[in-house]
Amino acid sequence: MGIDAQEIFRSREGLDAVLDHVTDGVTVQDPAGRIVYANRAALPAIGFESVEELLRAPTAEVLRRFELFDEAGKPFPLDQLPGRRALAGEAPPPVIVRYRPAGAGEERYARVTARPIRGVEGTVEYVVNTFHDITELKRGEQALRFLVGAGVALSTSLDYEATLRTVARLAVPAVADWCVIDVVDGEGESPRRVAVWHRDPAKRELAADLQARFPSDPDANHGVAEVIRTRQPEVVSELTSEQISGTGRGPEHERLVASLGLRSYIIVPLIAGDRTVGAITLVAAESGRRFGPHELTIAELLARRAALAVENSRLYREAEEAVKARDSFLAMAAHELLTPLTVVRGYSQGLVRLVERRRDQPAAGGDTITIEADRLLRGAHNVDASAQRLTRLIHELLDISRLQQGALELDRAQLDLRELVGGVIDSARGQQAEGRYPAGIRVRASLPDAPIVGTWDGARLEHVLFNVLDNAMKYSLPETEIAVEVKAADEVASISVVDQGIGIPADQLEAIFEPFGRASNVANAGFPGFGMGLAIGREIVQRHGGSIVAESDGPGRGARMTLQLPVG
Amino acid sequence: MVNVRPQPERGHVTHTVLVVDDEPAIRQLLDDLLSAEGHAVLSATDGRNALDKLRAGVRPCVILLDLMMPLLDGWQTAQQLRSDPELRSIPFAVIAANPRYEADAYRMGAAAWLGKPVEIDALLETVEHLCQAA
Repeated sequence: MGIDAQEIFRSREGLDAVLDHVTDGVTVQDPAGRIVYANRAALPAIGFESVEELLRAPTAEVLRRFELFDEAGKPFPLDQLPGRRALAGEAPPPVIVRYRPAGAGEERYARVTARPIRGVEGTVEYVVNTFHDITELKRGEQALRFLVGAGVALSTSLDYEATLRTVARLAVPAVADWCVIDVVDGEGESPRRVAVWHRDPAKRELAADLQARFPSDPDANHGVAEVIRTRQPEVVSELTSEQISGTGRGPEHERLVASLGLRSYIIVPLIAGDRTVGAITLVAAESGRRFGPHELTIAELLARRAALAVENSRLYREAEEAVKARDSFLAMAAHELLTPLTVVRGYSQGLVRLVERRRDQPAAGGDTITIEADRLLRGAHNVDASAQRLTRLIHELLDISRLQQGALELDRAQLDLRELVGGVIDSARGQQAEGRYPAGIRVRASLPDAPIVGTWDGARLEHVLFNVLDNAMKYSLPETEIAVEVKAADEVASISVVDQGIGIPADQLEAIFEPFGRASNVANAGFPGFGMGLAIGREIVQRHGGSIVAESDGPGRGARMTLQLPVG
Repeated sequence: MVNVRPQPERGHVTHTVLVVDDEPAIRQLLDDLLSAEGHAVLSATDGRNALDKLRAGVRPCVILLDLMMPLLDGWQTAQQLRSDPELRSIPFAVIAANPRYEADAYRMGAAAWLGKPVEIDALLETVEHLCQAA
């Protein structure tokens, strides 16, 4: 070793050289409170460029250079600073302070200690202050506390939108100055903003204004849409004014962005399984933070929990909807089954009553009574029709249950589609004769001369076609026509049923094929039905290798159902 | 139980009943059962149809009302009946499948509840009772 340690400490320069290599800030105050020594690490904390400048400055000037807060963010009383208390002869405990250069700048944390140096007479001659920077430690602690709080919030509610708003609030100021959360409701849909949070309501308003006037470009190669598309996070540690003006959205956009003071941001995707359900954006602004790998880790931890919460809430909602659909299906099924049952019971009770009364009448001849044939026939016919209807409903219920278990087997046989359609039209006309449909509906059938033969499940296809025609007739307007056309071309048979009825809203042309699905204009009108006919129908047709689609120009404008089946 | 006092089967009209149901089979049934007891039966295919008939001057002593109907359902019909000073005094009985709606039906002003499948004795007693009170 060429340098003698004893020698170093003997000279002031040597001592300075050592202290300037200490990472903690060190200052020495004289009994009047003036700073008489500062090492280099103490300078940025106090807001000075050089030691000489600091030593020349009066105490009041030194105190003006920075703002001092306690841990909770309240202004720190200067007489409680350890240095002041040490000067007063106390042995103060260390304190944790938040400080930042006056005006703006990055807020940091320090642990401040002070020790008095006494002279031979025991009086305090100097006080040595040390400032240990604990900013990273505090931020880690805040992040941890935030993650725990967010985790609790995310696991306590199934209302994920409210929960995400809570998370956005918890994120500020713990890990960011702004927190923005977007969610994607369904596959291929645009992100929807559910939370924007900043502590200052005026800033939030400004952000809303910015978003309204300059909506994010969904096709940009950066930002929320891109993060959701690529499932890769985006980290911008230092947002430059070139980057802002580079978006080419004009000076007004630049002015608004500048007024928000954005400096750094992170966007992380919300990923649940193979679904991307949204994105969380953390933005640093006035706190002067710069985001890096550490903040990205925090954001990703948060995103994982938030994504799970969004997904759970979606699954819960789906389950809830399924339960609701099942309940309303059961109510509907009960109504549908009890109607024909009422007819069966009503007539049988009526018959018992009639027979008993006539037998009891004085003029009756013992066991022989007379009942008018037309009356008896009508009753018997109605009982039979209701029993048939019950049978149809029960078969439909059984098909629903087989479908749900994936156990629907087709019973194929060779048949002529013309005969099948003709039979269906006859059944519908039979129902019409009973007054089941609006008045004056005419069914016009157009069948080809040549047979259209295929190997199909006749009973099931008949059921499907009857449902389609029954729907068309039920939802027709009085005194209108229904055109049924059957034709075959290129190995494909097609049956179309065109009505002039209440029509189907455009957004429900597919929904009517969902189990329990019925068009809104039908459900509201109180038309009875299982709401399963078309769902079963589509399944049956698809099992045949065919298709069934609905078209409509909208409510009140009729509908066209087209069913296609492979022939042969 | 069954009232066995001699009753005319037909020819003599005792009461006028309005049946409101979109199911033709139910309308036919109620018509057959009630006319066998000598009642005059009028029917309507839904609430709107029923209100049209009532506003045209038809005056039954009781209305038998279904709940699930197109155009104007049982609830809406009951509400309109209650708010029409001319029709307010006509009692109505609700005929429905789901017992969950019974309390609601009474709350809507129904004078009686007949659950499906309807017991013929309950049906006839209800008509008798409400028409005599009227």
